[in-house]
Amino acid sequence: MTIIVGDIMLNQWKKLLKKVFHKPSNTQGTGADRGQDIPVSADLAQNVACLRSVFDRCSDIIVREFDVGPGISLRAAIIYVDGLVNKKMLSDDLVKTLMYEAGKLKEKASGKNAADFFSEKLIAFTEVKHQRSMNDLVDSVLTGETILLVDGINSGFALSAQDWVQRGLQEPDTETVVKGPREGFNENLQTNIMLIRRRIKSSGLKFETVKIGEYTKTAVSICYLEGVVNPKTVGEVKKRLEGIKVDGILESGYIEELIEDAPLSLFPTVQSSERPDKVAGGLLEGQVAIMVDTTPFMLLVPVTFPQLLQASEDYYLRWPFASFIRGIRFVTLNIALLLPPLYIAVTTYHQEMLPTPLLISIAAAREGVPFPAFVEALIMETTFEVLREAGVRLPRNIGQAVSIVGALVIGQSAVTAGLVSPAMVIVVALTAIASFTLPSYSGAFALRVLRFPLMALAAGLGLFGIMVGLLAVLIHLSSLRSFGMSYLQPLTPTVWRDFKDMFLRLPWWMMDTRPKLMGKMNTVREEPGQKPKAPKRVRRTMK
Amino acid sequence: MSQNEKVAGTQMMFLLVTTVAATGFLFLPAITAEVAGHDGWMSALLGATAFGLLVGLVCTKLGGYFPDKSFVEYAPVLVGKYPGKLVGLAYLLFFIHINSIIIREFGDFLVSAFLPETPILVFNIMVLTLAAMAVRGGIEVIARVNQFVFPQFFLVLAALVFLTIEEWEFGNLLPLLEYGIKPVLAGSVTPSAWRGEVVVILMFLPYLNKPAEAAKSVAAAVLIIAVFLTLPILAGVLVFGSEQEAHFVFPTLELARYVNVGDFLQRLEAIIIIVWVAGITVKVAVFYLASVLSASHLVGLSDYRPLVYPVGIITLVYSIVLFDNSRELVKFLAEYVPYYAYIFELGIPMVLLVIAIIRRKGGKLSGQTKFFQKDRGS
Repeated sequence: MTIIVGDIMLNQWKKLLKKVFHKPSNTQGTGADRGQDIPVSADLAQNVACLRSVFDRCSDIIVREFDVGPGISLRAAIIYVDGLVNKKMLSDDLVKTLMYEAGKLKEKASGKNAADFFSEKLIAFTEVKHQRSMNDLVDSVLTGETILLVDGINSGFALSAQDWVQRGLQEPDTETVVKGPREGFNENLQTNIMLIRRRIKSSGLKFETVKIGEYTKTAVSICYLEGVVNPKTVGEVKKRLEGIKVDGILESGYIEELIEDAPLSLFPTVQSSERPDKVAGGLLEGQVAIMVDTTPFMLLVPVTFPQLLQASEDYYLRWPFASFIRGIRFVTLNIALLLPPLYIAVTTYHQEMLPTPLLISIAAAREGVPFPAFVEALIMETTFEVLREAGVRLPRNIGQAVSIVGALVIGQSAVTAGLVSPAMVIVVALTAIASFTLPSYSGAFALRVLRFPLMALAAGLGLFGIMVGLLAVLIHLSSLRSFGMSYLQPLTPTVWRDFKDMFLRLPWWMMDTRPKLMGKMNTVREEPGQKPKAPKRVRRTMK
Repeated sequence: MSQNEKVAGTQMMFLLVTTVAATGFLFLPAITAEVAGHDGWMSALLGATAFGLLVGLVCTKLGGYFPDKSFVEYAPVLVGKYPGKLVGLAYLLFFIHINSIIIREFGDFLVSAFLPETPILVFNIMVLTLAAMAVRGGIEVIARVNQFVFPQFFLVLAALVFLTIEEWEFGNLLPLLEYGIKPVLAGSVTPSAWRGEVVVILMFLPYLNKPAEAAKSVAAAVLIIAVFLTLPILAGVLVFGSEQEAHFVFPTLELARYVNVGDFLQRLEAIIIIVWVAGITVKVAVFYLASVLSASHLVGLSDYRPLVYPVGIITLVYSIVLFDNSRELVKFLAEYVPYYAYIFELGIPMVLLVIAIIRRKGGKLSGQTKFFQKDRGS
């Protein structure tokens, strides 16, 4: 009965939600008004007036008119956003040349080829674009390009003299390594693209940039390695990105939520990383990277659940240690998810499973604790999550204080006061530490959240409840897909070939193939016989 | 029906193993010990395996005539529209009935062995909800879930059997065939019905990615099941002796209680829950999917998903009202289910196979049997 009632209720909820979040049937898009497209006219005054009206009350837009000289009377204007351009470069290489040198040239421009004459003889910039429409000019200005308009020429020159303050390349906070490159992405797309290009010097490395966001016009670059990537994945990524119609993209998290396969799932079907080496590694395996301007977090698709347990350092350490760490991580994965529920289930229902001495010491510790194990665990886990959140939000130097207070109050005083048992503190601490070993931030999040329903199931039904919860998670994971890949691959569907980078990280000379499906196009990764051999030592005879 | 869902032959094989063995390893030892005494392992190993192979052979042979259709879809083609629909309806009810018995076994076991205070309805609802999730995902999802469940199942069973090795008393098996072959044959009646559950393959054949391998994977499944179901029976008799074994309701569970390695690894019965819940969920999901598929093919729906909850509720209600108590269930399992199951597992498919062969040989190709023509053309 409950199932059908639940279904009906679900449908009603869906209807209600639809009402609440009713989409206005607005065919105008998200409201950023671009107006009619006007071609650039030959009359400078008219163009400048038009641009001035567009940029009315934008105090950061600079319009500078001047005479091209010496000896000729020709008006010109440059338009740029203050702070996004290199002013010294503009004044030295553009304005100065035009004002003092242009007139000295022997050839004179005339009529139709004036535009080419300018860009070929006078504008000493590496990147020059001819823009014939006013809207394109406006877009160029807003992305930081400088516009040069010359009287009598019915197009504008968009010059690339972008230069703005950006954060340096720092070690990423979210994915630190002991051994491995320390630079992370920053907030500038060009810099980030450069970081990838420096790692993969192949013409097969493609970046296709689109603009997303009606107001923010955020540059989003689809990056892949042609010949390795599955073209279907690229097509699918493009299709999903094209479908995005929103007012703004401020972080790659927006994109992630708008393109992911399972928007209601706790588990991430898109990977995000701050590390150029990780993204480059993903590209070499056939993943597609979605690089978003203004954020250091790049997205990688498709992603599978086992990949969320792989850190980039696994590939830099020697393979026995890397494999050992992988093993540790599978253990901590289980601890992070299951230790508190197991503790609750065993102490509440299955005491007989514990060896008697252990049972006695746990029972002794729990004596005088006023709460049942579930409530005790719930209090401690919640407190820990609160502390953790406080540690993230607070300024860094205060964060230290919070953790000390937290450790003292929760660890020491709560036990002394008899509110919680020491065993519970150990369980919660172990769980917390274990959850920090998981390399994927969003993957670890899923486990953190799942712990609570599992604890409730354990409290209600013991081990049976935990098993039910785990099966539900397993069924859910089995039905997930990420951009056409099964989420649990290579575990199921089983691809034995890909097990070499799964529980173990086999040595590089054995990783001869790319993961199936992702790097379908070009599976061979290395020449056979890469196993290093020491040259045979020639035994010298002693004389 | 989303025919683009495909499972590999090995996936199907493991699915069938879990489907049959999940309940069998707990319920069969007591039943065979009661009938066949210390020769019970022979009943499970020989008679039942032969029966299982026969069922598998008949089903795959029959399905081979209609590679992209399920049993319920091609039954009307073979025996005429209305009789065919009737057969389909019978199978729908058979799958639902078997499924509700499985769910009842599940709930009964948990109530009697672990959580005696909890109403059985709780367990039945939970396992059905899990199975409904899996069924909505389709056969691919069930097969994938099983790829995680099966190894656990295998490991736990192996642990149970081999960790009791020091208690084995081979004298318990002697003398072989003390009362002749008769008790062995009688003892194989119930295990055969269990093995015959591979009949669900009738509904899943169109989902195999290589239909030609169907017979091979079913046969392999039956043989693996033979090992899986014989080992617990054998270990039970070796440890407890057949008389004591027949008195237990769940000898395998007692076996788990018996495990003691170095005074540390002991009382493993909680681990039985893990395999039990996982295996049963897969088993219930398989029969659930079979019944939902039958229902949708019977009325010609293109998608079976709208039927998942209605069929689930019927199954749930049956699982509660069919039996008053646990003893009644065991009695029903041991005395009635075999003969009833034989009809559906072997009888009807066999008859249909004979009809298919005769009609094909006789060349009586009316418009109704255009599938044969297609088959010939290809």
